[in-house]
Amino acid sequence: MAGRIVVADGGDRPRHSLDLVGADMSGHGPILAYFGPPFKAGHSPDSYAGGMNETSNPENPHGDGPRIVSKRELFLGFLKIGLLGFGGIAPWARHVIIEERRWLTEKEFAAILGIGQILPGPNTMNASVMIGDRFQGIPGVLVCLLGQMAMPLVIVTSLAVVYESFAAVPEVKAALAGAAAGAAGLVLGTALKMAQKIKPTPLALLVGAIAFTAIGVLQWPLVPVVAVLVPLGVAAAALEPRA
Amino acid sequence: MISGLLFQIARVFAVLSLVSIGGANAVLPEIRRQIVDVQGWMNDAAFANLFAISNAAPGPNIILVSLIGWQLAGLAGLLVATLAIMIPSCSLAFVASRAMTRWSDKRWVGLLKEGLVPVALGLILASGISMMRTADHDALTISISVATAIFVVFSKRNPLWAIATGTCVSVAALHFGLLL
Repeated sequence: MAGRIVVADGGDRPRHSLDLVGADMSGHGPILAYFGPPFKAGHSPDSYAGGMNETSNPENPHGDGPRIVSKRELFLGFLKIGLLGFGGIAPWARHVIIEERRWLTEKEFAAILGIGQILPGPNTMNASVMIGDRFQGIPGVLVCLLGQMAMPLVIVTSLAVVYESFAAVPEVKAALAGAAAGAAGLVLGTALKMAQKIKPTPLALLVGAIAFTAIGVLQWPLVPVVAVLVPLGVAAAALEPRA
Repeated sequence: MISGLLFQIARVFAVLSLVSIGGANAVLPEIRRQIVDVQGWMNDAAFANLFAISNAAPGPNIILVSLIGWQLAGLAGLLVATLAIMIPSCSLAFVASRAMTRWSDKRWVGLLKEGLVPVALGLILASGISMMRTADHDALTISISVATAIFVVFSKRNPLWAIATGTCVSVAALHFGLLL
């Protein structure tokens, strides 16, 4: 039990350690006193059903309690995600959040992306709202959003200014084609790697395969496919609980 | 006049924000319809240009919307369009985040999260394939995509290495006439 990561963050986050970590980094004041829903009596990590708690997590060295991420870390992390985020930011978000900084486990990240997917708006941006809120409340949300938009906005407007003069250069075209092909492979590889690490149950694998076939192969519209698959995914999770 | 335009930009993108399940790519046809057909802000060629530029830049796909705002009304347009596309959907995500936390001890929340995992995985895989469909039109680009995917699966290193290599290979292939 000692190695358990608490996914259900918010009320049961230890405030004192949050302040200890955050104080030297971001100079926050008493504004951090409340973010997140009120503490719930009797809410222990054990009462959190659904198998989202990884009982042992070899990937996360901070397995001795809820991971604390300061506003400064969030901002710099998402600044990097935005800056690297060529061809969409989801794979880069995964790389920075899981491989590099270990803020979340593979499965927590996938679940948050999944929630981000069924809401309107870009799935990774929705995920970043939830990640910011989990670690630092509303200020955390704002730094995550600002971080991921800052560099892309500067770059896209700069590109717009120089586009006319460079768009016809063959080397530029070749470079963009190569980078676009790489970005596609990056998304593909990211999905495979996540699946490899999460090790879905057979039923979950089936749901994932249907999602892939419907959208990726048959190119059916997203909304009805998701509307059908979410209940199927939940049913799969209920029928085949993880040990 | 300009404030009227800014108001229109805000209204159009705020509505799009609330229906954009699946992100900017999913509502791309609707964005085009609004900008080109309904509002008549630019023609198809200009829109396609902005789309190409936004694809060449890093970041969330909605920077296309920011760029449209920039094109229409400069810095003010950029800010208004960006905020209009972000605030509605991000507010919903925030409410969802709080709801999930509040009811995190309920069984259905755990099951919902668990059930969403394979859906998210399948959809990311699907978007990889559809990106390949757009980006890969010869043996060289297909090889770059596949090699990058293999790199990502087997290496913990920054994927930027793979992307940079692919870009260099593509430029080199142009120079040595290797376009297969």
